Amino acid sequence: MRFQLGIQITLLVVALIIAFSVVKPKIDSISIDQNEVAGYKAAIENIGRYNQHLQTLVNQANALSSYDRSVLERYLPKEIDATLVASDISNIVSRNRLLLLDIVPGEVLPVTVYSADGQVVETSAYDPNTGALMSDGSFGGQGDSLMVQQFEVEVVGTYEQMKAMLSDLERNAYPLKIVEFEFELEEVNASLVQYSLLLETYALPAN
Amino acid sequence: MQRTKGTRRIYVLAYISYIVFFSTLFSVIGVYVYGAIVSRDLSSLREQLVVEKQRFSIEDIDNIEQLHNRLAAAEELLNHSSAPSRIFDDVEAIVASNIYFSGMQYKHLPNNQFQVDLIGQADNFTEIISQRNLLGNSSLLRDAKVVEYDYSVGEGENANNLLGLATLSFVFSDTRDISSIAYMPEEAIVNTQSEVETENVVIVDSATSTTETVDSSDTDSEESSTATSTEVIQ
Repeated sequence: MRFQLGIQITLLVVALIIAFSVVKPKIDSISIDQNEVAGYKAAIENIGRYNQHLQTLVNQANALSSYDRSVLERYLPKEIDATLVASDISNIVSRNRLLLLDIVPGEVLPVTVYSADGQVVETSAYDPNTGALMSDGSFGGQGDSLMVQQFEVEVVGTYEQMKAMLSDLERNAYPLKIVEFEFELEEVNASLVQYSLLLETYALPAN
Repeated sequence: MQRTKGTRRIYVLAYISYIVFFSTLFSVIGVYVYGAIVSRDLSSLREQLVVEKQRFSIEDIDNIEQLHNRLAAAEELLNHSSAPSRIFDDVEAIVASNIYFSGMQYKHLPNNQFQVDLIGQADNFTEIISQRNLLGNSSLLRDAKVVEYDYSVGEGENANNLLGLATLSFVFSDTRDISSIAYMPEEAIVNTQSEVETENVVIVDSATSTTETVDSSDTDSEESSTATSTEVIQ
């Protein structure tokens, strides 16, 4: 009787020891693995969605012809070639038969971000995640820096020549944004007038 | 009777202990089997994730990202482009004959607006008021205000001469959103003409590369067509 009771108690104790030393740790381990499985499933689902989106973008990129790419590269180059820009400005000025008096390139700087009330928020930028470049009419976000370089230009010519030059600057193959423009006639009915311009051009450096 | 009762108590405990013990053993087996299944699933998912990740190289993703950024940036620049030359056509249409505009200041403001100051001269205030009324017909400068004026009398020999030499300098100023002078393609503004289209091509070429225009044997003809088109516009 006592011997049988001892065996039964021993079996219960052994069962308890097994339950706490083997079963419980294993269940904890399985629980961790299950969480990992859930995480991986979510990741695979997301990566599937990203891959699908990426595939769409790849298809769109492949659909872009080499000519279109070159136009884009010309419109927004990786870096600003100040000499080439000055040369192009000079060409536009001379094609409209104005006299180029002076052209002074400024420093290449990140685009400054302004709030709606004109306060400086931060310098530069472009948010590649949201695609948002300008918020409330300014460049906004963070990420790739859109660079800007200004050119101070002084020319002399007639009023009609000046108008034609401005039109050509506006429809240039890359932005030559007219930031400031000024002229004042020294004499009444003067045919030749000196015009001061401040132009801006942009670049988006590759990472 | 007492022995029978004692034996029964021992059997009940025996059943419980055996059930608990063997259940524990079976649960160990079950847990290990289930753990193996979960581990196998985990390995499978890891492999699947690696395969999905390898579908596109990092280089491809970088290229796409850069192209996407460039396109988005270019689009924004285009959407916020401005064409100050449009102001001149607008002003020319509403200048009074007795007003003399001698200068202009255009400034692109940081908050996506522009300011135009038109500096002019008139003989008296009535002419300025008349000009202000005319500006009301302008599409771009209809809200322009006289922000400053300077009345001066030139030197003369007598009172009659003084009256004739009086001049009034004034500045009309207006601030508007840049979208009101957004760049529009030439074809949309002007009804035209092969000369203008030719000029477009020349400008694009000149902007592309200096060497292209210098090296090209057609440079002279291009320049002449530009000159012609400029005259046409004039």
